[in-house]
Formats: sequence, structure tokens, C-alpha cells
Amino acid sequence: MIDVLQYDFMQNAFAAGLLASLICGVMGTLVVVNRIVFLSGGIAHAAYGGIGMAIFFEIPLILGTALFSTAAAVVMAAVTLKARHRSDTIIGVIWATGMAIGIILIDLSPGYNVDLMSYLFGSILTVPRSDLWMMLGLTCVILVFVTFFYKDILALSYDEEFARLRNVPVKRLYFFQIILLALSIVLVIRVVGLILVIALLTIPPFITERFAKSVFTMMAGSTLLGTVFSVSGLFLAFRFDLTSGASIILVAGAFFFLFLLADRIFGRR
Amino acid sequence: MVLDQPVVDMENVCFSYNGKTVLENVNLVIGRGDLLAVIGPNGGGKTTLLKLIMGFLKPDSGNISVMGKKPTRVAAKIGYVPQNVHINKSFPITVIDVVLMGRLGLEGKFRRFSGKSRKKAYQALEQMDMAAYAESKIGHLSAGQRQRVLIARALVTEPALMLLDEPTASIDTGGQVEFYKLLNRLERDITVVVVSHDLLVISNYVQSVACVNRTLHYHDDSAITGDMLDTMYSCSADGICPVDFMGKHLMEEVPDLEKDKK
Repeated sequence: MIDVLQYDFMQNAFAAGLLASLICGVMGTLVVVNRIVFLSGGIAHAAYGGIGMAIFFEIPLILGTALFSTAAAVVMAAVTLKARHRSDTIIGVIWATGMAIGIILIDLSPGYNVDLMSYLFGSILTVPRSDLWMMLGLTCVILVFVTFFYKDILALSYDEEFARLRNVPVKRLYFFQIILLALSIVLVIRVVGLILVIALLTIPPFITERFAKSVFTMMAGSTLLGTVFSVSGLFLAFRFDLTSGASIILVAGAFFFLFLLADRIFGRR
Repeated sequence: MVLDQPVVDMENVCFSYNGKTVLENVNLVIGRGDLLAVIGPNGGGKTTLLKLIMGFLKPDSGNISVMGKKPTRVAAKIGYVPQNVHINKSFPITVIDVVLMGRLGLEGKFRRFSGKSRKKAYQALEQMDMAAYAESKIGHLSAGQRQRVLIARALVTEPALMLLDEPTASIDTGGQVEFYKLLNRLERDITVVVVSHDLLVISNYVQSVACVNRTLHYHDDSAITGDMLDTMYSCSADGICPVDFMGKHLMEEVPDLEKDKK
């Protein structure tokens, strides 16, 4: 396994996998306990609108997607904050509209053909150093945010009304959380693709939620699990010459169903 | 807080939601240490009333002051026990951590909770007979047990005013009596407002009753009269109103209950 690491691109790929696991372990936990998986899917798909925008207006891809996704996320956050349980329709509309805008804008950009597959599955093997730095920066912001506001985030996620009574700045915190989520999704999509970002965000927290006694252990457990998935997926992809993103997803998916099966057989008392 | 100042003072409060009037010309004065029951049909505006007092909702017109201030300014002095105990059952959190949530804002922001807060949280759990479950995951408890945990959480906020929204909805009748006895045992200077459907049980324990059905009728005496129910649960169209029916029975039942207690 060590010999894999002598290649520069593999080193980068593993670093990207680790950072993505950490980002997704922390943010994914918040996504799962706040029940905003659908909203995350909305952000991830609407991000395609950002790609279209970036290409059409000839601005850097990362800037376009970050701006577009953040804007879409803020709208979705406003909607969910107002009517938490009735927001799926509007999220669904933003989800589809975002993608449509992306496709139309790419159509209108002459001579440009974006590889949709790389958007879906990412390109972890060709991830540039600059992306790694951006992910590292975002990881730091997320960790600082979660450490400082842990008690407030916990109260907000568990019982928003009670948190408001305790003078927790519910709105600001929620919006900041969603914006961080949007930026996480945008960065992680670049390396592992649209499909894996949802898988990495939801599968590890879903499994750890069953055992974790606190949000913190759930974050730590999810990060660990995500790391196992991405490292073993990458290793398999390298050995058998498979698409890296899809391999990671397959490992995660297999683990997920094994977990469900084991839970069925041994877990229920 | 001035001693004789009312804890809650609502004047001509109107509130509507999506163009539908929910509360109309509500006047309510709750004094310090009162134990007030709020009754009324579903959709009659009971929860809305609580949310107005907590400052979650703003009235269309009229004035609300809580402890002499605007509701949002004194939010931290209000202990709230929500109606729905079924939310977030799979949430990864222990009982003690739920209770500790009540200590938010009472100590430094960016640190772990202090030993003092932990002690208080533990004491509140003991008071609710839930100390044995302190380290259990909240989802592993029954609905009634979860309710007790949420009450403990409201207690550790050191509230001047406690608002309970149908706290006994998921507790059986025996447990309900226990629960109201417990409310009575609370410190004298905590003002308690409890929304409830348990007409039979509450009349023995509360000092005053407010009937809410778009308008609010305040009764100083806790005895629930058929008349009182008539005005509140006006089920005009139907021949027999179930609540009216119950109210008449209540008149006969209540004295018996009193006797049983002695």
C-alpha cells in the first residue's frame, strides 16, 4: 500500500480524501441531525448553475460555483427557517432550476463542452494543490466555528425554539451553518463529484448516529468512517484501474448495506 | 422586578395568521406565583398565546409586557416545556446534555458547562425522578420520561415564569396527578402557565383558569363551570357538544375528587 504513495498525484488524492472526509464528517453530522439532507442535495445540484455561469461569464469556475451555491443556499435557508417542514417543494424547484440554468448557459457558451461525468464523479486523481489549500482553509474555518459555538449549535439543532429563548442567535447561526455547508459542497464536488458528496455527507453520519451519544462523537466517528471509505476506495481504484469517485461510493454503499443487515440481525433487542 | 408587578400583562392583544384571526382582544394579567391553567379547543389559540408571551410571535395590535419588559428582552427568564416530545428522537444526545441546554446563557459562552451547572442539571433530574437516566440517550426513553427531562431542562434555567404546553399529553392519568402535585411543589415565586386538556385533573391544582378560543375568558376560581365551557367550546352546529357534556359531568365529579384527596 505504501508504494502507492510514491506518486505525487496519489499523495494529493489521499490528502483530498482525508480533507473531504473531515469536512463531510463534521458538516454531514450537522446535515443529518438537522434533517437537511434534501437541502444539501439541492445545494449540490444547484451548484451546476454556478458552473454554467462561470463558463458563460468567463470567470473562474470555483468563484462561479461558490457564489451561485451560496446564493441558492441562502434562499433555501430562509425558506426552511420560515417553514421547516414545508420547504421541500421550494428546495426542489431551486434544485432543478439551478441545474437548468447551468445547462442553458453552457449551451449558450460557444465551443465549450463540459464533461458532465467529471462533475458527477469528480476528479480526485487530478486534484490541483490549490484546491487542497482551499479545502484546508475551509476545514479550519469549520473546526473553529464548531468548537466555539458547539453548545449553541447543539441547542439550535435539537430544539430551535428553546435555543431562541436561551438567547442563542438562532438565525445568524443557521445561515452561517448553511453557507459553510454550501462552500463545503462546492469544494468537495471538485474532488469527489456531485454523487459522492451526498454519499460522504450522509452515509457516515447515518451509521454513527446509531451509536453516538453526542454530536461530537458523531462528528469524530463520521470523519473516521469517511476516511476509511475514501482511502480504501482510492486504493481499489488504483489497483484495479477503476473510476476513483465511483469506487469510494461503492465501498461506502457496501459498508452501509452491510451495516443495515448487521443491525437487522444483531442490533435489535 | 417589582414585587407587585404582574409577571404577564396583555392588553387588547390581537393576532392573526394568514388573514385568519387567532386571538382577539385578549386581556390577561398573571400575578407573581400564580398557577394558571389555559384550556380551550384545538386551534383555539392556546399555543399562540404562549408564543406571544415568549416573543416568538408579535401581536398585530395591543401590548404585551412580561415582567415589565418587552417579551424578547426577558426570554431568558422564561422556562418553556414544548408540547412535542417526539421531535428528534434519534438525536445523538444524552439526557444530562439535554438538561444542560437550559444553562445556556447563564455562563460563559465558549467553554464547557461548569461543574455548578452540571450539579444543577443533576439536581433537576433528581427532582423529576430521572437522575438514573442521566447518561441514557434521549431516544431510549418513553414519551413520559422525555417529558420529565424537558421539564427538568426548563427548571435549570432558573425561570421566573414557566410555560408548559400540554405537559401531560403523553402521561397516563396516574402520572398526571403526580405531575400536578409536582407543579404545586415548585418554588412559590415561580409563576406557572400550563396549557392542558385534563380538565378533571387541573381544577384541583390550579388557582385560576383562562379559557382560550379566539377570545380569552379569565376565571379567578379554578372550579370549571359548565357555563364557562359553554362559552369557550361553542360547538354550535352539533346537537351535543362533547366538551359541554364533559363539563356537566365535571360539576358532579369535582367535589368527589376533593373528597378522595382527603
